[in-house]
Amino acid sequence: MILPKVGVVACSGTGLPEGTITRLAALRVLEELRPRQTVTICLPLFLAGGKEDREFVRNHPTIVVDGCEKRCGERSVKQLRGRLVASIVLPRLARKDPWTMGDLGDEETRMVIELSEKIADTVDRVFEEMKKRLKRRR
Amino acid sequence: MADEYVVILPCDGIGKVYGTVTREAARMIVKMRPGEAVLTCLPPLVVGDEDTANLVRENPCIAINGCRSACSEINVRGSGGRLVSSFCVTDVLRKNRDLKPESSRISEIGSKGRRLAEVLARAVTSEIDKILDSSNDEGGTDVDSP
Repeated sequence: MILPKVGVVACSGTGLPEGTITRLAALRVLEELRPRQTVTICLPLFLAGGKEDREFVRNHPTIVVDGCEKRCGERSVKQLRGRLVASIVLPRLARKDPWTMGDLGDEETRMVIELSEKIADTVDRVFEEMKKRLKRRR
Repeated sequence: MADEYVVILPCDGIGKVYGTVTREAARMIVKMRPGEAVLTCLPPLVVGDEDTANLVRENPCIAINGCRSACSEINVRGSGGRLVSSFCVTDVLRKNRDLKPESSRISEIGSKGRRLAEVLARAVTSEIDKILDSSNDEGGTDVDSP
């Protein structure tokens, strides 16, 4: 049974440290936890009109991970009629300065791990639902 | 924060390691020019966040793109931002071929990637100095992006 990949859109915002957490968590899912089941969507390219990214999001289940309540990732996917299957918003951090991997403390590293595991669990749930749907069709 | 400052918008692309280089360079820039360089997120600009839109319309902006798709530049222009300059990681790499990031992971740019980000950050800070100097001399002028 060949199942389509799931798209992961992280807000990746530079202005807030939470953007770094969403970025690193999405990349951990792609690079370590679920490399065969997921692709990451480049949000700036998606917003700038990237044809392939937009096509993908319209035709594949997509999980959004936002770093703040502005929910830019979710709003973008909805605006462009993507197949949004789950939306996660990271709670605010106390610290205001971690922007890159090297800057992260223990607390932020723990958040990256927890968030990436939450995304991976969501990916698994989406795949289970896809399998069930396919079985029902047969 | 200084009276006048330049808004820095890295593309933050997640599909290529060069997006991570733009992010690292942006972090270096605000450390090199505290108060004169301000970072903001790109996505709110495009989804119509008013605070972000006002920030880029009222202040000179520098876009830092990871690749030729130039997403940061396109998104700043598209939202009516005051784009005064635009940089691309791959242009800097062309002049510094020994700094090609070796990591196979997008999340880690390695020592060469960090040096590449530093070269880029220096070029951007030099541009910030020119923009703020000309703004002080002439009361603010926009220039075309290179």
